Amino acid sequence: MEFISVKNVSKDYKKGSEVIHSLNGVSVDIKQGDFTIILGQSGSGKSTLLNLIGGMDCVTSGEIIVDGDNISKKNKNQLTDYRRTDVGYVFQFYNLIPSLNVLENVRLAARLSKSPISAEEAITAVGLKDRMKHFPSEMSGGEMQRVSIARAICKNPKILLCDEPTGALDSVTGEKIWILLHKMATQYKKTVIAVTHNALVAPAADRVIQIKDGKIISVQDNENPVALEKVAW
Amino acid sequence: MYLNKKMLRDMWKYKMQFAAILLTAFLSVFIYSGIMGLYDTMKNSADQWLVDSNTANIWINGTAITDDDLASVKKLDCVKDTQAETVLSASLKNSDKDGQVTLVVNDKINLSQPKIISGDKYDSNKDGIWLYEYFAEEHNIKVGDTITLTCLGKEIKLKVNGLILSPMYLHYTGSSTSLLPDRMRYGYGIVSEKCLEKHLPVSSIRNQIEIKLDNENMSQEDISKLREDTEDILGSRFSGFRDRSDFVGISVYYEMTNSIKSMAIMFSALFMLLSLLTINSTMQRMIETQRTQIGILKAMGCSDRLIRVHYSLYGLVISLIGAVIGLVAAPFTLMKMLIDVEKSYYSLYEWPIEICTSAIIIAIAIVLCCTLTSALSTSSGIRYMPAETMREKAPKPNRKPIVKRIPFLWKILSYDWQWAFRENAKNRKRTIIGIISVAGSMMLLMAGFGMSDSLSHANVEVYGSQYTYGSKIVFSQSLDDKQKSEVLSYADGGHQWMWESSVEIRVKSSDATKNTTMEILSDGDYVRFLNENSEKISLPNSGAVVSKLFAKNNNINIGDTIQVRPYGSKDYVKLEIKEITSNYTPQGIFISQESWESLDKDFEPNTLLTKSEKAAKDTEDLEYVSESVTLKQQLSNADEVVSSMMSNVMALLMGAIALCVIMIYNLGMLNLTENSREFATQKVLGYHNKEIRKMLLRENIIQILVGMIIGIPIGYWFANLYVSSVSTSSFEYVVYLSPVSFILSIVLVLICAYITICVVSRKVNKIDMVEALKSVN
Repeated sequence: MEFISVKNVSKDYKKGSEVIHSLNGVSVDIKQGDFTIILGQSGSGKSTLLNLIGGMDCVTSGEIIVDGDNISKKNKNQLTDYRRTDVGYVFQFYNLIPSLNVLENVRLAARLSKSPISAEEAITAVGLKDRMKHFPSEMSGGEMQRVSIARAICKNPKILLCDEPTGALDSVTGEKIWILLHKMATQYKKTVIAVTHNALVAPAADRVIQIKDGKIISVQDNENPVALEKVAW
Repeated sequence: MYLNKKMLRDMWKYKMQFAAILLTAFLSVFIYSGIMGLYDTMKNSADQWLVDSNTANIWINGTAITDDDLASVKKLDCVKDTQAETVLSASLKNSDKDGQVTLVVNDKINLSQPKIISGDKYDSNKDGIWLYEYFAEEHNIKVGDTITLTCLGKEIKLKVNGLILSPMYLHYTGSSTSLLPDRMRYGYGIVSEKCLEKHLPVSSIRNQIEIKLDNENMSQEDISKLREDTEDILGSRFSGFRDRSDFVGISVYYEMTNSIKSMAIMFSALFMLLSLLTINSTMQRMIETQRTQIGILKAMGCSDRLIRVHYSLYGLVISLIGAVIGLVAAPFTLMKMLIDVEKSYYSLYEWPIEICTSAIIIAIAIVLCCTLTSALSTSSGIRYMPAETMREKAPKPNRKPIVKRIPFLWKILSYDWQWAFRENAKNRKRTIIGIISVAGSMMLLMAGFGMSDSLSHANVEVYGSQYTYGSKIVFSQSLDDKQKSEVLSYADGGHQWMWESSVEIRVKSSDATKNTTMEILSDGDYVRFLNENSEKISLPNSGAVVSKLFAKNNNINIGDTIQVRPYGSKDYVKLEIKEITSNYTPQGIFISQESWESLDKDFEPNTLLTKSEKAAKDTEDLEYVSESVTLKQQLSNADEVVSSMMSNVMALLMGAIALCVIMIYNLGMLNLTENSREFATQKVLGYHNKEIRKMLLRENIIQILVGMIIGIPIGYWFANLYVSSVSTSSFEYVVYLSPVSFILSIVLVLICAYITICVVSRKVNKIDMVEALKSVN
């Protein structure tokens, strides 16, 4: 049985009198422990799919089952609990709390989990052991994204969702972040779904889903994914 | 053109921030304009009325004043005009409630001309009375009705020819010891001499001369000279001299308008401070968020000046709208409401509602300040090259919360409280505004409750503890032995004689004289005196006791000697001050009969205090009794007056609650708007709305607690200032706040703040995670 099952999901948004069909009958499965990449251009609906899997938004129709749990039937409170325990989120723009230092930012998330990884351990794992007392304003983009990954992983979630995690970074830093993400997912045995428009990462993924105009146009499984370090950046 | 469009759309986009600025600009102008407008109206209308009605500057009291006396006074230097009249006390018998009417008997009214509100013009040939409008209203008396008065022991029936207001009685209490008017109990009326002679078996008994001076601002020496001259003319018939600063009908009114002015300044200073802080912090942040757009405008080739003007307009337009609404709305709402309250205490015939000029200046100052803040905030954006401006500004280094500097304390705080302290440190300006708002609300509440408690407490002290008699019987004349024994026959169980009179005093070596009240008491214990340590003292056998406020105003200490001269007596007598009493009222000098007689002076009591309560009723019809009242009646009258003050208290309470609710709502909304991204992040991380709301609550609790801690001592100080502002030269009010009121003030602030925070924090539910986190801009 698949770990995440997206069944015939549609998502419509209303903008004034106009209805925008962001996702149109999407169905896809994701296995536990897989590193999945969703590829697509801006406005293709890839972030919408990620938000729906992450319980940040509700489907218009269809259903999403995560680990046997139908999250499309959950109410707002149940969705919050779901995000709290099962989902770790890495944003394009990090979204750290400026008034909290690194340790405090990570603890903000860790304290929500029933079985967290210690904040210090998560920060050490992302290579920021010496910068625990630093504030976001004192860090580079790459460092902030590392904190963001530590924050997501420390909750010990079932799935790690990454929305354009390197979208705001230069290519060298971006490469390092992808490698770190992959390493962390392997180390902590997490199912990762990452949205990107950078097709270069595709060979390293277990499964690559391509979206266009709100529809899945291809799902490709890599029998032998290439190590990220070996991808031609 | 397009920039203006941009401005309007930006205003809509940042509506919460702009609403905050608009509201605070509005509030500070509104409050200043409302209260100051009231002051302007009261001051200007009274000033004008005193001029138009040719109101006297000096009132001289005496007995059997003749036309010759009047002619002699008129001949004195600096006297422009004079008028003699008879002032008599009469009582009104009415089915509902009795009243006391001061009759001013006059044929020719050149000075202090009353305003005829309804009915006929004053005509000395016409039989009947022109009655005080508000007194008539309370007794449901209309023009054309006939009223029955008892005067000099005779019942007379008078037709009401008209209803009037007199400029001499802007503030009319009818009794020297009561602070506030009781329009049901005390009134005044004017009748002609012909009418009096027709109804009463008396010829001329004129006892008052009014004087209009050539020069309104005469020096103190000239006034003293005038006093001596008039005293020479009247000789032993002279019994009193008052200028406008002694004449309670006018002086108390002006004392009150001055206290309204200081109130206006005190209250609006609070709002002004909050307003400027809010405008400054909000405008600054608003323009900082426009940094990228400033860069874009620069890149397109807009001049720095154009950009500066564009952003200055944001501040200008919004504060102008707020200030203008405040300026225009205040006269018809706040000012009108305040006028309605003041109308029940003071008698002006018109209360014009106008925008006051100083409020316009305040409004302009606020608009300028707001515009300047916008212009200055823009500078940080236009200072750099466009490329640099378009880059996001590096956030300011984080401020350490004060608590974090105490590591021990910081460690024992839970994560949630650490968060709350951190947020407060991060938004320092907003925190300060929050604290000032709570402290301000606390201050207003304590002032409101303090005023009501202090007045009630003063009543209980005066009529429950200071005085312990059953009845007080006041005589209209000196009593002969026969009359004394007649009145004593009603005084079962004990009595005490009192001589209450006006005296002139000289303090130390100074030649300057002042008027005050002197009470000479025979043996008895119906009047209690306490010293400043609240210990009971008795009147000494030689020397005198003075009241605290009187001593303070005249810089008198124990051991000093003052000179006292009762009216009608030529010489001053010297009195050594043995004690200072903290009694509320009256303010003046207290002497025992023994001490007075040891100075070879006669004791001519004009009041009898009796243990019996029945005596008041039994003696009221004696022809030489002008007023008889029980202590219980006095207390209940005084309590009635206090309850009529409740509208003032209510206004303060409403102001306090409005301040608390509006400011906390405003700050909460700003917090939500500015930090929506952080709240959205927390939501994505899995925080329940309830938990985020609790965080907001904790953040505010710190502000509320600090605000209260600061607000309580300031509240006491302010309540003291407010209460002492209603003290007059005859009644000293001391601030008293009951424990219940104190707790109520705290509870009210807590409840209002809590409900407001709950309402604001519910909006956390509406933060859309996806939208808020889409991008940085």
